[in-house]
Amino acid sequence: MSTVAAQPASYLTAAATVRSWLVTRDHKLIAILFTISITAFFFVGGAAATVIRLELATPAGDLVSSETYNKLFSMHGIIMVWFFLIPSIPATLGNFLLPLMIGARELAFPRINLASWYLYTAGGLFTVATLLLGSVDTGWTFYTPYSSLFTNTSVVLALTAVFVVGFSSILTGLNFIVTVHTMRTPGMTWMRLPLFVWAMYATSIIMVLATPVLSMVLVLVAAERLFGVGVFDPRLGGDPVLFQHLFWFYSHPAVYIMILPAFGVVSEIITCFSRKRIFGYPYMVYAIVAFTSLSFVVWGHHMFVSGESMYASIVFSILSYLVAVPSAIKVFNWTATLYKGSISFEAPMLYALGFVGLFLNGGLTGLFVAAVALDVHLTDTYFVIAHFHYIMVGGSVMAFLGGIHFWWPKVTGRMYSEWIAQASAILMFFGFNLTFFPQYLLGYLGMPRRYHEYLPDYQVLNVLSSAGASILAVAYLMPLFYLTWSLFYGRAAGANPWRATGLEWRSASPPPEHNFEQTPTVDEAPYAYTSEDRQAHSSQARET
Amino acid sequence: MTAITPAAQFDDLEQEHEASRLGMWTFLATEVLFFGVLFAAYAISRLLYPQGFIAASQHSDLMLGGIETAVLLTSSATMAMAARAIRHGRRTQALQMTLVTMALGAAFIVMHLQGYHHHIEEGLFPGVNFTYEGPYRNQVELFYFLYFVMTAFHLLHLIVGLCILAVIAVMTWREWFSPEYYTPVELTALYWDFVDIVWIFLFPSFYLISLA
Amino acid sequence: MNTTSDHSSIGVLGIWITLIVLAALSIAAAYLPIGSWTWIITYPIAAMMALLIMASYMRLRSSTVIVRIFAGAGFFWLLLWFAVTLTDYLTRPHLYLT
Repeated sequence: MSTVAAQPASYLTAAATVRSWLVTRDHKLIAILFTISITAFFFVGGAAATVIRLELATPAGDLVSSETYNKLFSMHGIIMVWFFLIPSIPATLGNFLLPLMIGARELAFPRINLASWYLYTAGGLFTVATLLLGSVDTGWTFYTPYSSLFTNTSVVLALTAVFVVGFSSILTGLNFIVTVHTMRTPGMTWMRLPLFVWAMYATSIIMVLATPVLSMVLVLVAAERLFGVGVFDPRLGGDPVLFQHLFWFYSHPAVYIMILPAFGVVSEIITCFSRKRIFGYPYMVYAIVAFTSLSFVVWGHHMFVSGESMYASIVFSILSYLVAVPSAIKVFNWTATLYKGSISFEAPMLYALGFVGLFLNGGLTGLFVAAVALDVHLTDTYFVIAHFHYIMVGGSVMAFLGGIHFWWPKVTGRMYSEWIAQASAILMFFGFNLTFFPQYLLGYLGMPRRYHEYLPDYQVLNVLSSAGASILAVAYLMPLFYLTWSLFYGRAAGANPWRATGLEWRSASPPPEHNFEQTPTVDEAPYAYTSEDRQAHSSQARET
Repeated sequence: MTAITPAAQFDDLEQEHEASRLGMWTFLATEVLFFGVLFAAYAISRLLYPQGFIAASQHSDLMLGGIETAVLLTSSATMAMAARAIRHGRRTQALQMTLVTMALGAAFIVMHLQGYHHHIEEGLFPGVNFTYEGPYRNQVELFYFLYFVMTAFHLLHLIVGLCILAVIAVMTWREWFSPEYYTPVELTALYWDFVDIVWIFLFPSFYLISLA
Repeated sequence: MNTTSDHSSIGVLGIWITLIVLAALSIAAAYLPIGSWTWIITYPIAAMMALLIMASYMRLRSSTVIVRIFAGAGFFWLLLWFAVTLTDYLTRPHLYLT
């Protein structure tokens, strides 16, 4: 049922021309710009993954040469990490929702926000250039001395791409931090903030403090390549492991940039679809803070076999185990929130529940690799690959999709088709597990990562994994179609189709240009779902 | 023209001022970490090769470095005076102090580029033109790699600071600021002082290793 | 706009003199015959100079706690990286020889 006829004025009506999009200062439009950009890169990175999984369906390295394979996994990693996962939830959902959730008209620095998108795009162009000019084969980790001394691929170009997109990240983080500090509406105290906002804030702190380290270490690698001298070259007295210390000082917190926003999204969805307050709100906040702090002191667990001293390894291992505590608190609290809630299984909830299970799985296997002795066996095998894909794909990507579905009505004013979305979510869960669970087994059995050929013994599990990947590909493509369809034919959503709490639901769908007709005030804790809500929700479910 | 209304996203000037100040300090925090990587690489290298670094630093021009330090420290003082003048509504003095700050900054740049030229002539430019022969050749090259990279980044930030100061000078002249509103001046002063602080740590790193 | 603790011109001058004196002390310290260990004196002096600039010219002395936390965050995080990385370098079985 089309409702094109009578559209009230919203932020979208102010965006009639291409130019208005390109010079906008509206955080909501910038969020959409980012969504389009990162979706495009997601599918480019996905294309690389497709070729990888096709190659790995057979033991022989017959589809692509080993050099090409190295480039495939390198570009897959670079694109997925920096051009999809790191910006994903913060630059899309965060940009759109943060001001709305705190009752503000706009972010603190709208032009810096636009600059952030332009920097992302510039970095993206450098990445495309890298792809066209032969790519890199160093892995997304750019380890020295291979990247600085030996490879002949387009390293400096790739480093430039990541350097540029790093500033996009920093500016987004800076904007969010200042916004949360200074632009909360009256009554919105820190301990009344939705957990999504806390998650964005914590993520921003990591973005701001960790990314500059990455930027500079990449400059040093480029300088080594260009001038033939440097701090990472052992022949000249440098230390390649110093690169790793600097690289992982960013890159470990970076993976927390990828997961923290997902925590925020999941908290919003689970409370809404169980019609219940989050269990232990203060502890959820402390867990976010603890998680963020600990993220900065565990990086050495990526270096257990790199020549790091044993004592340092022990310290890093212990600290890495500590991270399990706030993670577990969050998982237990989500579970406790569900307990005696009135649960319904709309698509966002399916994604959120899928997140909890898959994140739990990935987190538990993190404990395996955090143990030094086990890691010696498991590192650089498919076990590690499975571990981080469970968290980043099973976790972050599913939460991202859950958030897209949850807030789709708010952003577009339309409802998507529920049954096909649910089918897509279930298909994704199934395809994901089929793709990545066999990889735990492969890793444990000794299959190394980043190899395009393997012993025939590993074939069965690899075929299962590749089969799963094909299902996953379908599940990722489906939302492109039904969400786009809903833009034209979806029914009008109304301001609050989920009857959720949160300031963003108090404005129209889609919101007006300056978010609220009147500045909202806050006088209660977040997630103020009541038992009446739950009873009404259950009886409504019984009727349908 | 005095801008006394806050930008659209802010409720009042105080909120805008607070947000701007926090924003600048956040940016400076990122800069600390950005430069910090270089200082970290320096520290690890010096830890590993104390003798090599002592040998290398004998070629640093202490007199030049000392004058550069005094110049930058003075420029921070004049910048503080410029900000103070605006707060007290003294536009002419503010403009003068801003221009003096710029002049001192420019003087630093000239002196430092001269220092580079000298080092390049001596054959101490790593990779491209490095002719130093001695027992610690590799470590001396490492020292100079760090020297050029670190002071070049500092110089870059200084040049950007000069450009910003030029804009501030024009805005001051055109009466954009008043005791009620001078946030850009305050933010520029923060940035300028930060650039000074970076030099304060660069100076002992490359000029004061051991003069005994 | 915090004009309550505005420094007088004398104040700015006094701080400038202190900074110059500290810099001179640092130079003098470099002449001590302690090889590369001069860092034990020169870097704390540099830190003092930096703190002085931050407290006075950058007006942290009259700022709120939040601003001071923001100001210190970068340095704190850097020190954290450095301290933890040192646990690796200082406990390796052997370091590179010059």
